[in-house]
Amino acid sequence: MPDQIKTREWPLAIFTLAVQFACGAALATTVCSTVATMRPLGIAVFPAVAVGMLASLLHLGRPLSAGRSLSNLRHSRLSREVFVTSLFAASALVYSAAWFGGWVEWRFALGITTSALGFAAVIASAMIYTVRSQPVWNSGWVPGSFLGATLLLGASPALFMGLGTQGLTQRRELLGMVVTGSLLLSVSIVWMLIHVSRTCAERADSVTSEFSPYQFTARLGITAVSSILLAGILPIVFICGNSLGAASLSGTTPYSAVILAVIVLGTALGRMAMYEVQAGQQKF
Amino acid sequence: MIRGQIGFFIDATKCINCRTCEVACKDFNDAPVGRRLRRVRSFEGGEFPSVFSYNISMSCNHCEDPLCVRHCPAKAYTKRESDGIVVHDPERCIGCRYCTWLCPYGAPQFDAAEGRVRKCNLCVEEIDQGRNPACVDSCPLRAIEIGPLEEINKRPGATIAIRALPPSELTRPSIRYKIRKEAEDA
Repeated sequence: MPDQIKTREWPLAIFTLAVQFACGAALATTVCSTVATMRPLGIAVFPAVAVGMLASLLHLGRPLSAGRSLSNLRHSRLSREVFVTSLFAASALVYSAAWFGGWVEWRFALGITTSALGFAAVIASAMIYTVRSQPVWNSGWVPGSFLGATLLLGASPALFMGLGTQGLTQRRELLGMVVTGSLLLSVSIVWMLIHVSRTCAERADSVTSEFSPYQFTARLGITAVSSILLAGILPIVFICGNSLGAASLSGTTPYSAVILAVIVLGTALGRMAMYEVQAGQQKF
Repeated sequence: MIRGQIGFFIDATKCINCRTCEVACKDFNDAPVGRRLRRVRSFEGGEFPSVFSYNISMSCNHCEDPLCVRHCPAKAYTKRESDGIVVHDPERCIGCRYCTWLCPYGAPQFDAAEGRVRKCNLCVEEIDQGRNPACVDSCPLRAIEIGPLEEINKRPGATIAIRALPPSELTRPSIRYKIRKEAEDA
């Protein structure tokens, strides 16, 4: 069995999801920079980036040599990703400190800077995968899914926390981010399935699975459909339908915790589907 | 193209899939179990009675535009200016495995025990001494040759447009094959 299938790239999945959550949370808390109930989320931005970067070290065969990954900033997309993410982490540290220390007057400006660096890190991450030698990844669905996950993972907790806040005026913006993120993620996953099937049909000889094609297709299909249901459709149904009433969806109720867990699970499944399709490629 | 770029010429019409080249490469490079720096693959097709098969032996193709050299974050790869051989420095490798994603031909292979990638270096130590790589000297059918790519391109039937191989425009591999008609990429 190829190494890609054995490892399943868990460290990279955690890294990308953590950084995307941090970026989305930075954006959502910047939108709500004067809302005190957002404090826990604002503080969480830096730890999330830190956890992601630490997880990415586990992907390396020689983690202690990680510093060498900045040696090729001129040409290497991976060097640039490490550099930009490091800048994001530094900015996130100051931003989270601003929430922790109550520096209200600095929060908005720091939030804008941190969010911008976060999006730069997310785009730099997406560019790692969109290389011409990876036909299944070299498509718009990868950056689409990254941006969708960023908005969804970051804005969902902010929305639930904000629903319990009296007089929150940014509810519509947060709802817009969640719905946009869900739709973007769902569309990207469907796009992935179409792109993979087309790529396999065009290049069946060089893009073949090393194990049963039926097993590969079944795993990919189940993962992708689950992701769409959990991270795409369910959040929109619950939030827009508001069937339980706004108070029930606030951060103080168990319902919001369950829905957040469902969103995280769905997004994680979508990310694993991305690594599954790469693992299914047969290199010479 | 680098002036003096060395390339492989493989006569796939002679290859009998004995895999002596694989074994010689593995032995010379002390490759661990599960790592084949040179691989021979068989391809089959057609419908009875017009069936066919052909064998393709491949290691690193020391491409003219190697993505591994361009994108390795640790600069563990260099392309020699004198002969275009793409050399991997295991001491600089951090085991990020990005090159295993980048290479269309699967040449870099991650060694989990060492925590770094290994790849065919065209037996540079032998080349620098004026000798042939292990695969070239070991092939009992003399199907594998190396030489200046400019000269190899002039050989009759030399092609890289082979069914089942990635498009050559991706990295412009420094390898040419002589193949059967059935192996040609349409």
